[in-house]
Amino acid sequence: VVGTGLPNGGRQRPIAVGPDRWQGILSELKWQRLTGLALRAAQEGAFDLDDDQFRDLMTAQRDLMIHALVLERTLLALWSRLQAAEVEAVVLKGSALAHGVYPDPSWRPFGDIDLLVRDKQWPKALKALSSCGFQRRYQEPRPGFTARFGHAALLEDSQHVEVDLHRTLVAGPFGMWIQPDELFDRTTDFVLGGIVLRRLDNTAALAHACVHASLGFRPPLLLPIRDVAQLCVSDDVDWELMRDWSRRWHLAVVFEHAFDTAADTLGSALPVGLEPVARHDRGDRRALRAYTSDRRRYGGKATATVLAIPGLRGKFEYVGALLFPDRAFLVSRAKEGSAGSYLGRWAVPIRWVRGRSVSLMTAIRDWWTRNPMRAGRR
Amino acid sequence: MVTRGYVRSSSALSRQVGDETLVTRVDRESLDVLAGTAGHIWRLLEQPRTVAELVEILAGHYRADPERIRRDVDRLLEDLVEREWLRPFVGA
Repeated sequence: VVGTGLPNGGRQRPIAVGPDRWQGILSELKWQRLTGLALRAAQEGAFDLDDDQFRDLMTAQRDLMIHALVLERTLLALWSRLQAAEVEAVVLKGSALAHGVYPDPSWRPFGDIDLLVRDKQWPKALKALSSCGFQRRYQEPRPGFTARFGHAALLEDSQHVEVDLHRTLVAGPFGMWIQPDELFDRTTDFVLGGIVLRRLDNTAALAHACVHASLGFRPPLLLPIRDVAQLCVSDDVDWELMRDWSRRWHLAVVFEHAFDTAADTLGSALPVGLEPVARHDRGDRRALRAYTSDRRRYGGKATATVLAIPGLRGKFEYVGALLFPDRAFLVSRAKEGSAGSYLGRWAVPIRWVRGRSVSLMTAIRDWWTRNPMRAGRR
Repeated sequence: MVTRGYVRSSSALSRQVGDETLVTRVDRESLDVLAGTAGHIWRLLEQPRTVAELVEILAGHYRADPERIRRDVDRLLEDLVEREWLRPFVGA
């Protein structure tokens, strides 16, 4: 399903799904937002569905498309408000890929609106969206935290339409290394409802798709992987620039991880114009593991971010804000009915320190047991 | 000779789901579902077409009398223009 419509992407033999497994598969298709591609696969005969299954799939796809249209209506309203406020914005992912990159927008459902704005226009953009009824869902650890260390603010209106207002492409160390202002030089037009909007061009969109596919979810979601493949076959990727970004923005490991994951998922190599990187900086690999390994659950991303923040003062301010956030932040992050507590906030670092201490003690004990000098003294 | 034709309204937002087309626009809360011939006409009008072209294609597709198709198509086009999903044009 993920490879449907790509050159050599689909399976040759039709796949049939038994009734006992159908509901599970349908849930997964909905969660992964692959219903559009699944419908296409079914229409091409690559996905062998009975009438009831086909009807279920149509219903799921119709629901996602209705939501996509609601989001696009909102996007156009927000776009005109941002224009009026003279905020330079770029539409990321969702609608931008659906209309600018995919052959059929119904293949690329999306669940929210992603906008990138320049750092210096961040407060103005927040104000413009707030005037359209969009408020932050979560408080910041401290005022100004997102503008300095974060990657985006999640906003929503009374209808629960979500907008991710980005100042960079991803949270954590890679988000600190990427220079978002350069992305504004790599944008192009796309038309929606008769209005001309800006999106990342295919090179910048591919870089973002790789970042999203590799660093967004663990394990990676299938639609971002498809985005990577879709952009790779678009023929107008500037691979020289990708090479440059991979060096300057420490993204070589991320690109490689994304392309490998996409090739594994699709069962065939992508037309990638980057040479395999034989040796990466150890720090970059460690930073990648902060997103792709178990470390992600135990504050690995925050630890890696500390290392990426330039200057001691910045590092201290970041750690300070995370360890001692404002009370309002604790409350907004706490489970419903709970006031939130600093002890709860520190549970992850305490577990991490305890885990480290135990490993250190075990290592010392092992060394002590194996130490030949000590054995000789015996 | 003057020809009458139609094109999709540029402000329409749409999605294809199987044989259905969902249509809305920024200034509208509601959403229309174009199914059957209406959906077919919508798909054909991705590019501007004259009424004669539409009738010819649909008569071939449905293997029906072109006169009858023409009457139905005229009615449908009128309705779609009224809902502002289509924009008429007149060309020489």
